[in-house]
Parts: sequence; structure tokens; C-alpha cells
Amino acid sequence: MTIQSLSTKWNMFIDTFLNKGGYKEVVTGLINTLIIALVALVLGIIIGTIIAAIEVQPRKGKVLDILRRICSIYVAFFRGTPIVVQLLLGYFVLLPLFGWNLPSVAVAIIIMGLNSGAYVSEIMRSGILSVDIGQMEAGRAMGLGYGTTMQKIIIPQAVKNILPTLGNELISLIKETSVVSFIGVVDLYKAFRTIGSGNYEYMMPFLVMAVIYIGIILIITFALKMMERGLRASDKR
Amino acid sequence: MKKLGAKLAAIGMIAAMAVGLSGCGNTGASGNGVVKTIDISLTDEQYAFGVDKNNEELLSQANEYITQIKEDGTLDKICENYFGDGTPQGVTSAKEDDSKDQLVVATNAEFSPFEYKEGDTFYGIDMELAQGLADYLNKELVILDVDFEAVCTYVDTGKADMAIAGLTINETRKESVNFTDSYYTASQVLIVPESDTSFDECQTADDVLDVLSKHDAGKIGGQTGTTAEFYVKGDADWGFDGIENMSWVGYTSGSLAVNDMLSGNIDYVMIDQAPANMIVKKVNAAN
Repeated sequence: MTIQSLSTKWNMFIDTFLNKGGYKEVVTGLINTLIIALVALVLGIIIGTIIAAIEVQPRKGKVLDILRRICSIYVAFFRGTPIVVQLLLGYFVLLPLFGWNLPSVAVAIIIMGLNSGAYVSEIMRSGILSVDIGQMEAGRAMGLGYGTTMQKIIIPQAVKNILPTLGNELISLIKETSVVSFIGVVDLYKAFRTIGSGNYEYMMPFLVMAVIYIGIILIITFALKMMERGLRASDKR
Repeated sequence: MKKLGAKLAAIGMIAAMAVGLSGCGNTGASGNGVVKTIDISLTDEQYAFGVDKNNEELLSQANEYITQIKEDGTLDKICENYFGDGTPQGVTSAKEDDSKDQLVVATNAEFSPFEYKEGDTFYGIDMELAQGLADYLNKELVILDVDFEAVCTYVDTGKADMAIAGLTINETRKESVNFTDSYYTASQVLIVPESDTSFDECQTADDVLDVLSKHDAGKIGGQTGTTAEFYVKGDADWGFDGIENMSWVGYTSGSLAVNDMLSGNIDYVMIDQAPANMIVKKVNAAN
């Protein structure tokens, strides 16, 4: 690999990227990657909160027990299988089986949202359980009900632990979107693959792709640090 | 002590880079490039469109279209755009919309000159044929660019109406799709490093197979799901014996296989003839 061939490869990449419209694919891929990650996170938070609420409840009861059982199976499946397997199962097995027709982006968002929900439920649960049990005892001792104590005392404190970890979940999601091309979505990876296949030269496209992924993650990490600092302000630690 | 350590590390990294960059392996010093095609056809195949089995009407319409373009010279003209002096015509895909009358075509746009993508525009013989067919049927063209081995599955599960992807007719694929009449005759060829002279004396496919059988156990790479894979592995449906001392390594595209051959991880690449020539041209230009 000579410096000359490296610069030839770079020039080929820049030519395809700028002159032959390669940037359009990259922009599409970037938008898809971010949209899928963000919407999946929101979906995951909704699902995760519901599951965590069910699992943290100290009350017993037939219905709750069945719900808890369903939740454990759900979490076990989505944490126990690779995301690629979940995507392929949803798109190539379940969809045709039931005869539904959904665009692949929608399937990607749903599957990744369901997957995220499993992880987020654990995040929520550990956040809530990490609040000192004395807080719950104090709340009940003051005469507040279980629900009110949760709402006014426990959860606001749990949020301080949960938010940074949710930020990590967002970072995970962005990285995980790199496999949605398996079901035909144009994401960042597929965009650079298309550029590479046009010239049969993949070195530069893949290098730039890696740099862009790293850049996105760095930006989000920085934003997370800022947010954490804001949350810590009230801690006086 | 820390600063010295950091400086040593920096010098070490620059030295490693310099060693890595100084030419090692293929440099194409002969001026002829780094890879070449062994221009001997190893198979005799027919490309056709794969059509949804539930859609008899589309099948007969597609066949009418193919007969027409063969007779009136359109097919030759389109091929000229890629093999001769013509200019490739760009084809754009519309957004999938259930309310409109659309022709949904599944392909794998990493197979120049039959289908490839520049930016968001598709080019290639198959792509121009797809546009022509959509115009013929008065439908809007939607192109789904997916992994090659999934192309027939898309048609089989109803996500696409047709597969137009340099698809060779074969019995196994007939279980997922109905094939139209053939529109192109193709064959597999080998891509080898420029410096490899073992095939210089070969005249026929049997000669090539002979040379391969005398080779040490090695690896042939190519695009997953293509005819090449079955040729190397052997397959009763295709009627291939397989190449005994060569194992197959699959990649998502032929060009990735060639890049890996240049890195020395596999011995040869097998792919259809037209794409092989395109790949060799471009890879030699970049190296």
C-alpha cells in the first residue's frame, strides 16, 4: 500500500462523495440512523417504564403475577437474542406469517424499540431500587400512600440515576442501528457500502464512516456530561 | 517520565505507520495492475427476471416486454450503454406507496454493470430494463436495494413484485419465484492476482479446473448467494460438482472479495464475467 495508492483511493472517494451524489446517501443514512435510534429510545422508555412499574410493585395478586411472568419472558427474549436475529425474525418470519406489510424502517423502529424496552426496564428498576429504602419508609411514616411516595419522593430521586444511563442506552441504540441494512433500511453503514461498491474501493468509505460514528457518539457523550453536571448541582457532593 | 513515555509512543506509532505504508505485497509494479480476469467461461447461465408466483399476469407481461426489446434493439442499445460507447442512464426509485400503481423491484445494487448506485440514482443494465418494464406497464418504479441472497425472499414474501438482479435461472430459485424468458447469457470467471501465472496455459474450463485441483488447498471468495458460491461448493440442483480442494468464503459483494484477495486472505475470486471485468478495471485503477 503506497502513499500514492492511498491518495488515489481518497480522491476516488471524494469524487463519488461530492460529484456523484454520494453525500445524498450518507445524509439519508445519517437521518435514518438518528431517527431510528431516537424513536426506538422513546418507545423503549415507555415500554421499560411500564415493565419496571409492574416488577417493582410489592403488591401480590394473580393478575400481577401473570403480568410479571410475561415481563420476565419478554425481557429474557430481547436481552438473550442478538438484535440481528430479532430483526430478521420480525421482518422475514413474523410479517409474512401474518401477512402484514410494513415498511422496513417501521419494522426496524419497532424491533429496536422492543429491544430497548427490555434494557430500559432494567435501568428503571435499578434506578428506583437504588433510592435508599429509608425514603420509602419515611414517606409511609408520614402517612403518604405507596403511590404518592413513589411519585413525589422516590421517582424524582431515581431520575438522577436513570437519566445518564438512558443516555448510554441512546449511544447503544445508535451503534446497534448499523445492522438494520439486513432488512433493507439505508443506514449510515449501507450508505458507505453503496459508495464503496460503486468504485470497488472500500478503504476510504469505511474509514470516513467510522469517523462519523465516533463523531456522533462524542457529541452525545458531551451533551450527557453537561446534563449530568446539571443534575449533580443539587447534590453538594 | 510520563512525557518521555508519550514521546516514545508517538515515535513508535509513526514508525509503525511508515513500515506499513512502504509497499508490501502487490504494487502492480509491472504496470499492468494488481488483478486480472482469467477470461475462460466456467459456466453457461441465463439471467432472467424472478416474478411473484401469485402474479401470472405480470409474468406474461414481462415476457412480452422481453420479446419486444430483443426484437426492436432496445436490449442491445442498453447493453451498449455499459459495454460500448453509450452513456449509462440514471434510474430513480419512487417511494413505496400502497395507493399508487407501482412495480416494486428487488435488487442488489452492488453488481456493476447490471445494477449499481451513485448517490441516490441507480444505474445498470438491469435498472434500465426495470425502468423500461415499468414504463411498458404504465406503473411507477420502486427499487428495493437489499442483500443479494434476500432478493428472491423479498419476492416470495410479497415485499416485491419482481427480482431483477443479474439472477441466474436455477431449480432451487424456482421454488421461490417464476422466471421469465432469459435476457442475457452469462458465465462465471476467476479473478486472480496479476502475478499468478498458473492459468496462462489454460484454454478451456477443464484446464482451469485442472490447475485448481493441483493447487494447494485454498480459498475462493465471492458474493454470497451467487452462482459462484454453488459452483465452488458443489450443488446437485445446479449440476455443479464443486471444487474439491477449494473452500468458499462469502462476502456481501464481489469487490469486497477482491479487496480481501489483495490482502492475501483468500486465493481467488469467482464472479460473473461482466462484473469481473468492471471490478478488475476499477481495482487496478485504485492500486
